[in-house]
Amino acid sequence: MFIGRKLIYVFGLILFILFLSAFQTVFWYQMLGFLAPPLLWLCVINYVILARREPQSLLLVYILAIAASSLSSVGVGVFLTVLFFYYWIVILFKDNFYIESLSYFILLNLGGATLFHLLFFITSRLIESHPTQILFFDRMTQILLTPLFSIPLYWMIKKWERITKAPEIYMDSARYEFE
Amino acid sequence: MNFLNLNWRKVALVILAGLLPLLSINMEQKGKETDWIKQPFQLLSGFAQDFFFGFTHGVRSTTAFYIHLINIKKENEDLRDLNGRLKTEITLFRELEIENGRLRDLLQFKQKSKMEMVAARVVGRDLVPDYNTLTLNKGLEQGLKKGQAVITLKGALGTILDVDTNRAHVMLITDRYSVVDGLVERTRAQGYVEGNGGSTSSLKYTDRTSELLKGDRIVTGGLDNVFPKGFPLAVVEKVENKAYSVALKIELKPIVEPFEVEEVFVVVNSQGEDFTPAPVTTALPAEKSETP
Repeated sequence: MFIGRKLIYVFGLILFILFLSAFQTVFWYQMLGFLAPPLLWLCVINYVILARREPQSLLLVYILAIAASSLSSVGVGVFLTVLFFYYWIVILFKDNFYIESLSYFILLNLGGATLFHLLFFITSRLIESHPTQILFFDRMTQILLTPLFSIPLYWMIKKWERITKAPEIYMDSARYEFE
Repeated sequence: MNFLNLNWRKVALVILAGLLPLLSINMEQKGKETDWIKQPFQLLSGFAQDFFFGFTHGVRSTTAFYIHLINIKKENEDLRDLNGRLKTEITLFRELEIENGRLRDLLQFKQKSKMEMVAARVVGRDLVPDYNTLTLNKGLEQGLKKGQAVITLKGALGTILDVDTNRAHVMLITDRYSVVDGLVERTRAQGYVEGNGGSTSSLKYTDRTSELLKGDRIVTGGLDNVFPKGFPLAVVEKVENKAYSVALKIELKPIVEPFEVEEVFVVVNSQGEDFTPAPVTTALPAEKSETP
């Protein structure tokens, strides 16, 4: 029963991240093609990092990242490398500074979007044969838009958690409870 | 002395009351325009009538105005609705007209060309801005394969990077991994068009002695067997001739604005199509050919 609920929860998150990625790559592109979209998928990743036990949550982050990368040409290796470092930096940040609030989640998404772009840029320079460019305008737009869109996403994920009734996989320490 | 025991005051009143109509009839018969007895009241009644006439007029006009306003409001709402619907329809018609025009051009292009092509729609762009790719709504089922050229009517767009059953990712010529064999249309100087990862490309390995100008058109060279030869690729934006470099540094702007494209053609088989314009030949006197 517990595993079943867990699977439904994870499956729901995968569907959700795919939905968000499709929204970002298709709907946003068709409506506001000139403007870089917010990193909606990263908000889900951030939520998982905050609300789940590490290091098990890293696996979930990987699954979600692979699902999202199906809508991109990004190499899975590069993507997971970036997210590996991203994950531990966020964990480090969370261990030292944590407030149970939506504001914290918004703040994390602002910092997270910046961190993701920074890590991606560095990783690309180190790993890829044709490294990426600065793309200042696109990156700045994404960094500014992501926290804005994280607010409704926060409520949506929380709602999903309530629907799936998966309290067993909540963090067992009060420090990690994300209410 | 009151023989009949009458109340004279009452009698006088009765007589007066009887005389008054008679007097009035008498006055009317004399042809006076107004009855003297009414005159003091007529003035007041005139004022009253005028007042009520004015009041009634006011009420009626206010009521009418209000009713009219209600009608106008309703009519206005109806007209607004109608206007909105018509505007939407006009916009739809315009969209359809534009789409129709685009599709007609695509069809004509396909009919005129000997290339084997598959038409596809652009449905999305990449999740990460570091990759300049677009997603098409066609895939393996429609005969698409990795490496095939993707073109529009204006020029080349990119190549198929990876393909699923019903979906394909196109790597644009501006992507940092993209390399296309290019040719300067005017001078026929050769080079490789490499993407810069942003919105521009570069023409590389072009001999520094080549005379390139801003605005020169770069076309596909056809050596890669992916794109048809002579198909527009980009326009020269900037040329730098550095002293220490063996090649020119040329910045290009793609002819096709990738994020404005809606329909594309995937070249399944270019069949040796060459878009290079035929050279202008001067008329020469016909020579007799002798066959052995």
